[in-house]
Amino acid sequence: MRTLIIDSDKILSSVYKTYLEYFGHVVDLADDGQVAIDLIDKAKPDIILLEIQLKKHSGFEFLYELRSYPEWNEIPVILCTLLNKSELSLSLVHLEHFGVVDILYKPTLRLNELAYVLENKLSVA
Amino acid sequence: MVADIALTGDKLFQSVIEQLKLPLLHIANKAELSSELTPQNYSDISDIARMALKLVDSYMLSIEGSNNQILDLEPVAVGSILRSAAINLSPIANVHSCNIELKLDGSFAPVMSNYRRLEAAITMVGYSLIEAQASSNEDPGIIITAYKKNEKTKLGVFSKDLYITRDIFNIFKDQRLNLKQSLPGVSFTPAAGLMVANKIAGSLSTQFGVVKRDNLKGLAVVLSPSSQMRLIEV
Repeated sequence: MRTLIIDSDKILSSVYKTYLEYFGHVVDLADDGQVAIDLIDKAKPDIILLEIQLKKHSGFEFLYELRSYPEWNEIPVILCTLLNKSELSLSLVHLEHFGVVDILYKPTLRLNELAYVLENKLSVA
Repeated sequence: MVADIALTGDKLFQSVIEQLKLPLLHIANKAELSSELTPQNYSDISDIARMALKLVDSYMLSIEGSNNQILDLEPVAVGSILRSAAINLSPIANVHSCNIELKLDGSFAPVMSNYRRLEAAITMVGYSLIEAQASSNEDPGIIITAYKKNEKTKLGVFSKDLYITRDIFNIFKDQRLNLKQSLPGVSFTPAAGLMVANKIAGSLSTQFGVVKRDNLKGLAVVLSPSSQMRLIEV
């Protein structure tokens, strides 16, 4: 399974990548939306893990751009964010038409749960 | 007036607490990974935790300073302060692959200040700029420096990344002007360290200001050389 992690936090991205690769995933990293688009163009991921609070642009801007490419419309996206639900001010219902299949809250997300969610959501999608 | 002070204090506390989320998150994840991975992670865990603790300590120092205590001012060697700050910051800079440069522009007479507080303030500014550049695509780096201007001594930290730090400095200026700003909007920009640094500076009868030098932007305080020690420049 190929996973694209889009997050400006290099420490956390690196931890997620190392963990997932240990269990056989192929993982690409992007720290902003444009880098992510370029990576997707080179190697289409099976699933995307996206942080909303990117340093240069918002993760939502990336989502809008991703969905403007019909050939990438089926790639499921999991939001993985430091913002809690009240700060996010959005529910999964609103995000579903952008292909967001789950929202994970980083402070309580354990690494083994991350691996499980990625595989589970991909099989459902 | 009392209500305003309470509100500002609450906002600072909230900002500090929000900023602590990120290093604690890093610690938790690296610790979880550590059972299967390299010793470097153990070292990083320790360094991240210690810098977060330094933020808490500096915040406590800033609170002590706001209680109108009469501070013990002493002649403080400029080079010693900056070297100490660089040593404090070196571990967290390594975690973020950020370069630290120490630059003393000339020789300096000691300044009248408080060693512990000034060191904490400079360290907090450096920490904020290192964290701010953590996701930069270019070579992240900070310069801890001192230079003279109009017979005063300026001590500060400059950032090599103008793009990232522009937002930080705008937020800093807004905080100084006490403009109303939603704290959640700044909570994941490391403004808490800058606010703590500026609060500490206030207790030393100075303030951090945004400065430009050699095409770089930074934050610096202005201090007066000790009149008694003026003849001694190191």
